[in-house]
Amino acid sequence: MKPSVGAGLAAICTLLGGAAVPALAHHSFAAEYDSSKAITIKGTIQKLEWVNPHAYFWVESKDESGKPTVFAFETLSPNALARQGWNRNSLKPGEAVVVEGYLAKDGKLLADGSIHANSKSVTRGDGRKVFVGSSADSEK
Amino acid sequence: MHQRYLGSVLGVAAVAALAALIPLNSSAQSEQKQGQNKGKFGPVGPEGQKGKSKGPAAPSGPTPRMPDGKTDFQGVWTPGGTFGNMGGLPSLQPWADALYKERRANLSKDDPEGHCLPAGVPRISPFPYKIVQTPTLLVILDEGNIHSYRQVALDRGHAPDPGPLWMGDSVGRWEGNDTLVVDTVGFNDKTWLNGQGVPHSEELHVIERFGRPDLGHLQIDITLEDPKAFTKPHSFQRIHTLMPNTDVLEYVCNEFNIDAEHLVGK
Repeated sequence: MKPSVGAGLAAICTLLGGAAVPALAHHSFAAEYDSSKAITIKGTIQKLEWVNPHAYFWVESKDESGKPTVFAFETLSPNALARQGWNRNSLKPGEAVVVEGYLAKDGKLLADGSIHANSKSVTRGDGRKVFVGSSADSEK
Repeated sequence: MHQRYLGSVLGVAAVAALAALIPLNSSAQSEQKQGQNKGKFGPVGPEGQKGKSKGPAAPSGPTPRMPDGKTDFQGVWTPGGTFGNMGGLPSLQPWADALYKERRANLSKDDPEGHCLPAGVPRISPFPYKIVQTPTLLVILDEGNIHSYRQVALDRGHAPDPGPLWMGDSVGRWEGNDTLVVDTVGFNDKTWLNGQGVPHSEELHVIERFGRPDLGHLQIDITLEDPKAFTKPHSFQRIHTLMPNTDVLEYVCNEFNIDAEHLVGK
């Protein structure tokens, strides 16, 4: 398994001219994450924390040599996830996923050594998407 | 250490902008169409309910009334994607304009909401809120940004020198049976009026005229007065929709707010 797959998304810069939109999350997306650092990570779920203000899940991804790297993804808040029918069992430890998201701006590892990122969607092994949405959605 | 990963990352400056323009929970909806995850609390958008997503239609019916004939505002209400609406930018005094521009330049990294502090008034989150009403008190229970509440006293005037308060001192009086005029003063100057950082001073005075034109809609006509921060009063209207058969959920912002230490701005 490749450690990561570049997200080949077309930049549509003409869309950048819109009016400023208030942050949807409790924090400014742009102040914490870098929309120019879009990532797609293939790996396995280590754990999920159903916590506020954002649920988090950890994904272990291995490079060609088998060396693991762990990403900690911020997702939506538990209340927002619950209203879409998702819960703390929507991702199970050990299952294979592909996560699309963005890296944190500051590049600092979290206390547990994981790489800090923001998730915008998670694709499970059967192709179903869960935890769709990101604080990036609301920002210009 | 993760440069190796960054090497395979394609920078896409417009991704966030694009995402903002796409129907926001299209994937979730498609999943629901497959008969999965109907949603315990009804099909609303990812952050409670979002503007460009089609939430449930507001229920129709006549304006509910309290036993005394006054409008009954009770229910769970959602601002949907209009939560940030404040009718455009107020006309700001030079110092306030400079502060606003500084906050914009810093990408709102110091927004009190990002640090799990109260939103203030009349700023609201995208999450639903619940109104509980008695003849002498109206209570607004905010699901987010933090579990804050507002008490609107209907049986007294303002407390003398009530501030500085995060949510202010709110009192209400009825105009006929249809309109509740809520008057709030006594603020601190720490809250932002929106996520972009529109500032205010301790002289902020908020007048909210609450009406419920029918069962499914709450109409709030808002005027902000702040002679220290604005050059003139600023008025706008919000219309929120009723979310039947649901309730406000838990949202304990400080539980795991690791964001605070990673909000770096530029």
